[in-house]
Amino acid sequence: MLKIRRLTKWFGSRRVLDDVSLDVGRGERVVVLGENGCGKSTLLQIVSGVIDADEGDVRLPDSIGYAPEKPDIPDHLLAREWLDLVASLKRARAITNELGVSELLGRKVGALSLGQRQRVSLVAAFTGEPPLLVLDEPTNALDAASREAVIARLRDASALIATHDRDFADRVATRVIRLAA
Amino acid sequence: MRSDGARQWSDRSRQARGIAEPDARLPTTMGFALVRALVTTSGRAVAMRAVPLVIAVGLVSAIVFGGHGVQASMVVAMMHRVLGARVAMFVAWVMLASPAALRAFDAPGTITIRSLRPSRLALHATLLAFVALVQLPWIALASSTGFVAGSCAAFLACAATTSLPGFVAALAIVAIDPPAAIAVVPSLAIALFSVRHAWRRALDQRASLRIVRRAPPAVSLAMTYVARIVRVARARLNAAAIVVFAGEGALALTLRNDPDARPATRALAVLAFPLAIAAALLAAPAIEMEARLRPLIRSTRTKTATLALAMILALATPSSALAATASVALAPSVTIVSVAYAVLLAAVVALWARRAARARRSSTFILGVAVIATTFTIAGAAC
Repeated sequence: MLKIRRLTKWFGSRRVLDDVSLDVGRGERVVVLGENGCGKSTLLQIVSGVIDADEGDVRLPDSIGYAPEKPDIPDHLLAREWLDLVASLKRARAITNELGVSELLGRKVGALSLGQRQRVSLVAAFTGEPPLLVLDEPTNALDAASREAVIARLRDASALIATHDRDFADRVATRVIRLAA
Repeated sequence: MRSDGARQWSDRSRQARGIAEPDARLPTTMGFALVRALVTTSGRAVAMRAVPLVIAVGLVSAIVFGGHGVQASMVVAMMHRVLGARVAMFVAWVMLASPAALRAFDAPGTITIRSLRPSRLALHATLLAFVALVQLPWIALASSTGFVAGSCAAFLACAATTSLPGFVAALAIVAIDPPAAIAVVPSLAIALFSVRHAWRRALDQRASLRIVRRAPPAVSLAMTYVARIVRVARARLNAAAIVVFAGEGALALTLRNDPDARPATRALAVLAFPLAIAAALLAAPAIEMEARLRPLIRSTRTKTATLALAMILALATPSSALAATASVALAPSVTIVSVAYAVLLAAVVALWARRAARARRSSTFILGVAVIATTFTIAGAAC
């Protein structure tokens, strides 16, 4: 499903990722743990294609579902508009009834709380039933009910997840890896 | 309405948290302080938007009224004579002035002023004065036929640019067009009501018209760019509208001075520059939006051709809509030609904007737009 080989990334003179190799198989949920600044988000950004690696190789399916740590949704768009845009780019049907987003559809993203934005961002990642989910701190701002819904949603999925939430990792992960700083 | 019990609880809660209760005498004894606070918050925000508007309209007026034999009083007389022209010009002005006028009610710092429970009279009168400043060009036009007419026009414009009920009421008066001496008092009342309404509703979350829908990727992206232009970059949209309207005014005047000219050919030559400037003004928010969406674009592996097509559609949509307004003053055949020309120009400017954004050189972009506009002007004149 996902093959990462000898990935290296520099930010200026600081080496953030050093020779990282990792496989995620079908139906496997790999959780990446590590202290702040160890490169978890950078790894997920490279996997999702947001930034490029300096060295190494990433092989992944044609379509993935990526939810960044900070939902990067323009404030002036309605939640419904964002989900429609993502569905259009993925050539899929928009999801409007998961994680309680149906009640947020007509509201501007700028007026949503952080947790509500994260729900919209996660639903956007789920759009099109991608074979691989790449989720960066998916439960950061979620309430208990939404957190449980995300755990249930991930039950049979293939995913690469970065988190600090140990309980979430224990319940979701089929494998846990630790990224050293 | 809060009950006495709730009020007492609130007061006790404030005291318990050590929050001082605002001085009840503040509104009457510190009216000057209130005005000063409003000047530095609402007034400044309004001025930031109003000054470019007043300068731009002033430049257009200088072109229209300078040396072409057209006088402001002639325009006002035509508006009194023709219902359609009266309503169209009023609505156009409201569209131009609203973004600046509405800044008076939600500018940074106004939340604190609200919490001080200011005197309503001083508050509404000051806000009305700020909103009236935005209307200076409109007031100047109406004042060409007298002071009372100017005052009446000022109040109606203030009412229409600040709230929807005010707009409806003002539009009704404009459509009926009663003598200014009769209309001036109700106009003032509507303006004060509208300002009060706008102040009370400014912080409400309003429903927005849905612009982006599920569609082919390029169309959906283009609608996202248009949503940014309409909702965030409205001042740029207004500036683009003013530039195109000025071009159309110039086109009407050149056709009036040279009746033998072919309107379509003249339209291509005269409108090339205004349409290119309009497209260039609207390119920045669209380019910003594309940059903002880069994580999504990259993670969904959206093709470069799709992005280019989206940018073309995004700029062609407002440009062609602005060009279509040529039919207000001219023949439908001119509108078809100018819309087609606007789409073509917007496409070239869109591609150039994406290229300049990649190179991160705004000066190159401006130079390129000038070259594009000149080329299209020459090509239009040669047709």
